Amino acid sequence: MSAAVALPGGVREQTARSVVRAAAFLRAGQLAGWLWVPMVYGIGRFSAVVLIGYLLAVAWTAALFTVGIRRNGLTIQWVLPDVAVAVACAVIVSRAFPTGEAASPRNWVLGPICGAAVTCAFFASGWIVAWSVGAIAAAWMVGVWPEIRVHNSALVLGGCATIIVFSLVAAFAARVLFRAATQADQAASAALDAQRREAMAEARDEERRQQFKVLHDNVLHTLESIARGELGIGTQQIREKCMRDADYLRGLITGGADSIPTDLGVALAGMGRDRSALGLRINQQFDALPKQFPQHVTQALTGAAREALNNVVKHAGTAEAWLSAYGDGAGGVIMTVVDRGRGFDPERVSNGLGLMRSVRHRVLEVGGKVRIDSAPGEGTSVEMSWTP
Amino acid sequence: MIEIGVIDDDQMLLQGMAAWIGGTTDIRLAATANSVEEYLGTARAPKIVILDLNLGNYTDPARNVAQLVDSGLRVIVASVIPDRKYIAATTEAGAAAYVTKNNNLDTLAEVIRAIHAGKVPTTPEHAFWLGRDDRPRRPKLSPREREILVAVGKGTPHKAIARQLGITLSTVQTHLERVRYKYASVGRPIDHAGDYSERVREDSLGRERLPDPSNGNPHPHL
Repeated sequence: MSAAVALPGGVREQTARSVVRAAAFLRAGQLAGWLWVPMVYGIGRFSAVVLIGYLLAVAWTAALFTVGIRRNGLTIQWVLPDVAVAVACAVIVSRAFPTGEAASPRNWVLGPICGAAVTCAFFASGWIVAWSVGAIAAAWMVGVWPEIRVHNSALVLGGCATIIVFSLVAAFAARVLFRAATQADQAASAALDAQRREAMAEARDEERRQQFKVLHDNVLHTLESIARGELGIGTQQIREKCMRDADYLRGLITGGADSIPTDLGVALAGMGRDRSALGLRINQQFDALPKQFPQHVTQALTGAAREALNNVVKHAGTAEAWLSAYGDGAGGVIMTVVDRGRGFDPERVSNGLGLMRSVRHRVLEVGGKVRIDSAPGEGTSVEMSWTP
Repeated sequence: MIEIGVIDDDQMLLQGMAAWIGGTTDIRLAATANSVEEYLGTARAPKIVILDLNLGNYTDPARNVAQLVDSGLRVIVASVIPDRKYIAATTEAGAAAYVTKNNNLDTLAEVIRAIHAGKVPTTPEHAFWLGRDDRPRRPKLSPREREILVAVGKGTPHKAIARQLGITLSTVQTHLERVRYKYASVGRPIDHAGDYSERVREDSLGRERLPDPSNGNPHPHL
């Protein structure tokens, strides 16, 4: 089981932290436990290989667990060298003992190599654990094989069994712990997701309520005023107002794939209605807009379209524009603002720069693309696209 | 003087249309009717007729167009709400043009004049919805035809499209006409209005009617 993919702050990460500390304490105890041996028997009794091997093992262990505790777990790049060190010690150090002592408590290797097998069982998985534990057990057997001849076979085989049983228990414990931790994390993240979705839906509903409030305040007000005879329907002013309201309603109900208003369609229709009030005639065409659309992208695209339409009012010298938007079928959107006004030479006119700046930064900020095409006397086309 | 007729079941719209057309000097509204049958029964009915896409008598829009085209009329389909499927189907049935009812008079007058001159005009909204046609059995357009159709649908002026693609203005026009020709003769030619039921069945249009107001509000969330 690899703990390397733990979520920050999750139960799994906490579990990995505890497990790596437990492994570190175990190994420290296994190494320190030998210190009484040279004290009792005298340090001169032990060969240089045994003592230097011990010091190297202590140094390696310190490095290993410093990294492990700092990273809350050990990756395979650290576990396998640890296994290799255990194998080397098991063979070389054990063979350095005189016959009759290698399988006795005077040999320090059994504890630490057992610890290496347990660490491997904690942090590696499947076949890696099986092969590593096998290799450590085999190395122990090779290291202490001469003992068989002096009838110490119980100690030889006992050591081997200790290595295997400890690692089996460790592997089982790690599996249970990490599985429970993962499940707890999944449950927590599912709960968090649900909470987030709920908050988003609430925000969307609120936004929609606001938009429909606008709809009621304007469209209904217009209709009721006419019904009460307060407004003469023949006047230019009321005709224009009715036209804006009609465009807004049409924009609302044509954007979705099945006549259900989408957030983007509603936002664009509302924005178009406001631009129309400036005297711009906007031909809106929306189709198959995505139902699930990130709110910040909706805002950015609506803002960019507003800038492009403002630019038509300011610079194009025409009172008509086309605003079209449709879904690309993969959750994205292609939106264009086109006018048939005077246009500009994109290479020379600063007007183009202003347009590019105000539209472009909004779209680029949310990871969309902008393409502007214009030529003198041929109008201007601003195409904005966004894909998830 | 170009004489036109209007088929619409909304009396207010008919009256409005008459006042509207009155604003032009070269076009005259000579006949109005509430249904296709009524219009065809009118003596000396004008050859150019504006047909409401969504008549209140729940007749199939494409069948209505086919009936009128069969009688030698040139049909301009008009709708309040664009409906992708029906726009494509009425185009296949031989409609000469599609406009939305919010179209300003200038656009409508241009379309009427173009039809009177024997042309097959494609308005931006018509191009937009044909470009969005996703029926499995839609006519096969070449990539260039599609490109031009989609550009026109966005409102792009023809001369800008010609410049972008490095082709002449008349080539843009030719591509658009070829798109319309492909729709009008998609390999399932209609010789009689009666054939229409066959295509309606193939397109499975007949299975869903346009919203019936008596069934309540078709957009209950509004």
